[in-house]
Amino acid sequence: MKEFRPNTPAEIKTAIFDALSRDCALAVCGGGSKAGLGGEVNSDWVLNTSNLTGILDYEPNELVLTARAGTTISEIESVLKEAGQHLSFEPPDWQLFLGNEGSIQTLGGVIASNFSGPRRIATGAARDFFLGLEMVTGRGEIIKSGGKVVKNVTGYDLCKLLAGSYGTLGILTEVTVKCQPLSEKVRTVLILNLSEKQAIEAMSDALNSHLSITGAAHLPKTIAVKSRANYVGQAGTSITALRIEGVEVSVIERCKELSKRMSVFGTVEELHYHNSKNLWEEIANIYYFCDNLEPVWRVSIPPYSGADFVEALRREMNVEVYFDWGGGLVWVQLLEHKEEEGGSEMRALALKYGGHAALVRASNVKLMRTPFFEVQDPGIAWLNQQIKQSFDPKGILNPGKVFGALL
Amino acid sequence: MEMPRPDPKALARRSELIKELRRFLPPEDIIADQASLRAYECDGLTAYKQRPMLVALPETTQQVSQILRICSDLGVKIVPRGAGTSLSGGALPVADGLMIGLAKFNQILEIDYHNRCAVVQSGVTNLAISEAVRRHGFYYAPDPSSQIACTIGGNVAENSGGVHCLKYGLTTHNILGLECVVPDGRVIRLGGKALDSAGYDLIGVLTGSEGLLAVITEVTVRILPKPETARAMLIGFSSSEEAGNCVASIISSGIIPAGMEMMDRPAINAAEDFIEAGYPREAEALLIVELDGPKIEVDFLISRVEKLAAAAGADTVRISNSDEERDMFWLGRKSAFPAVGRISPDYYCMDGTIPRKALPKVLSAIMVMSKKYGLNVANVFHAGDGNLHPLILFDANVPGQLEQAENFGSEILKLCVEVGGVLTGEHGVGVEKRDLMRVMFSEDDLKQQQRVKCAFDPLQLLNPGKVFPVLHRCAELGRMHIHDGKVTFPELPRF
Repeated sequence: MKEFRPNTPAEIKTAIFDALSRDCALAVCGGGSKAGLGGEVNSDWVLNTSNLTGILDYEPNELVLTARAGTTISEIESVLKEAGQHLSFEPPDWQLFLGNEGSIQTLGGVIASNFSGPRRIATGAARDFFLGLEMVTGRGEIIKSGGKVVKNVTGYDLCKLLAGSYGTLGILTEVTVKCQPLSEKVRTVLILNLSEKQAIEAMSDALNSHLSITGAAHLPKTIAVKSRANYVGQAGTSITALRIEGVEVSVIERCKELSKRMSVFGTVEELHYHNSKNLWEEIANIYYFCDNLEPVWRVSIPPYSGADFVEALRREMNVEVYFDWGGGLVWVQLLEHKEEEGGSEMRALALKYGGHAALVRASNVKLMRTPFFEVQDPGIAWLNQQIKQSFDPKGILNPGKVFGALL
Repeated sequence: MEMPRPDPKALARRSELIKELRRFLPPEDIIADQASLRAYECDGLTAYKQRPMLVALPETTQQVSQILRICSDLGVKIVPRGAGTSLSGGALPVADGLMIGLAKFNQILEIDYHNRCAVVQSGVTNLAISEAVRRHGFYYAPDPSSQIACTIGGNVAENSGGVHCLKYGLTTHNILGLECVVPDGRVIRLGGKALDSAGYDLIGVLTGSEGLLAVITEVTVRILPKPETARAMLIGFSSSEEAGNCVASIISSGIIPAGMEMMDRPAINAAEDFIEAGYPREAEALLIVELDGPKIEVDFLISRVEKLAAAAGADTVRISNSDEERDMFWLGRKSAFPAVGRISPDYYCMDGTIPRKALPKVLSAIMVMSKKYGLNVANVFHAGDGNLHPLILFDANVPGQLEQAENFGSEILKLCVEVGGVLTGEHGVGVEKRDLMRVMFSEDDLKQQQRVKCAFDPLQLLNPGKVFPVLHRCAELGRMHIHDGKVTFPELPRF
């Protein structure tokens, strides 16, 4: 395996021309924190963007940050924190979950995978904060799209296509994101001992109130017991968690009102700053499935259908689950599995309930037979292929990754 | 502004097209007589007019699909139209094309409070969605000023914003699903009630594609619980620099207001003459700041903003104490366009976005341009997100003034790009800014955008003459210039 670490977009361009002229594929990677996700790329040539580093422009007053794609998330987060801001979509850190400890999470990688944490339900996904880009396409062209301002409709929004494209359309070299102020205060209201169905009702009720909930998750008892957040791990019951953020007076007041509102569902407790922070990090980082390397599915579904989906799933297989996004994101670990990782049943059920399932951790990446996700509608599959063709007509970028046989 | 030359072959097929459409559309849904066609000859950008060859008013997605298939077969261009409120000519017809009017797609199909979304047909108006969910305490957040008339399908096509998008985002942040028909007639259903879907984000690229990729027939929108309270402040300053500094200090103190608008003296006075909202006439710049959320939070933040305003040198501060008063504060701003329309026979509304720090520079440059072109200008500004709307006053009956106004506008937009901003914040490129796209994008940037166009519409029949200054044929765009080792690159690094 040969690795090339370009220092400039122009060097990426020549690397792509080289690959095109040799007709060979390139495996595109950043800091390696998501290595193995969505399968491995069958190529001897690795293009690593880790050298494209540096924050190019950050204007806290404009809520805009531009950085080279290989800049680490930890650097960006610490610079933002100094100015009292953050990436509001809470980029999760899956190093431990994917068995990639010691790797580095880059801005380009986070955007290319469109990963978002619990706050997605309130303020949006990574793609919603992705304002502008510079990239090198599979044609070897250096192009830009979007802008460095928060409001812009000039030309097609190619940023949206690149978010979640996993390096299959082009190699991001520069990324502009919208930043948001950090909340002064964070608290979490816990409801104890709810069934999954009750939890969905409680989360729905809270999210439909005017209390501006910025996180809504449910951990069944067997999951909650794994938590290191004080109280959650020791509660000995299932835990339904609702996060409230903002200025102090407001957080205190809203927690009071939310606790009262939720008391009709069950016993209510409150978590304060550090415990609250730890809990939501665990939820974002899939911490509860980090104690083994068994297959895990990510199921995105209409939030109110979360419990019904899981009930139906349990009739077909032995699973451990927990819910984020008010029920709209179900993390499913298979407790026993066959070669296909339960793929066909999982996808059919997700589809039936109006969502889709992605295999985020396979039992053996090298022998992975089940694609990351599937696009079943022939019209959508055709459009995906057309888009791929328009950016990377020779299919040299990350072939086989995530999109599997689709592209 | 040059539009694609009409294709005589397409024009010759007019009666054949009518015959084909009559097979499945009732006669009243096909508009062919010249008098009735006049109603469709322009949109909100009234400087440009063109009667379409025909108008069809389908009622079902199936009919839209049939129409598109027939047009593809006959090589006839298609221009979709919602309510025709585009300010950039996005719904300007072409002489040799069929216009698809989506007015009959006016049904709200489902409201799902449990999943906080509504499924609506694309011709439903923006405001109708909020009204349909209001009694349950919900609303649809993006609120373009044309919201009483504009359709949700048009909002998706243009990625519309509004005064509240600083906090609640643009259309793209508030939709979950789409049903659309691509030019070959295929019906595509994307997304749904879940928060994401598999594959490339096609909803994302369709949003803001200005009707060039597909005809949108159905939209699943997110609806939000209405904030408990909202209060607005009117803050007067004796210079736009002070007002700009106040905006910056509000944002950097960690407050994201629901809306933050700025008006300059000509705009303040035009609005005051028209509405008598109680704006300070002597102020050089007026800020309207709205805070929403739980009552205790709003009250707390209002007092914070009040202090920041004082520190920034505010001359006057008024705070709304009731919803009626808040509405009154907004009424002047929301009437700014018609108010300016009263003091001038015509006005031309621009829509660039700039980094806010560049505001003093841009405003003083606009004043210099105003003298140079001999045309007055009033400025309204979505101050929170840097979206500037200079209203250039002119009289179309005075020969040459329209051209002068357009040149003035182009110079403003070029300046917006020069200071690090963009050509359009929310009105779209359309025909209006089409020829300025090269100011912001390189040839390669534009070619890749056009390749995305070709991915959906290889025959380039949908909404021609918009967005792209030069149309390349799809086959030409798709060509690769490198062929298996035949071209050598001397500078190649070998791995």
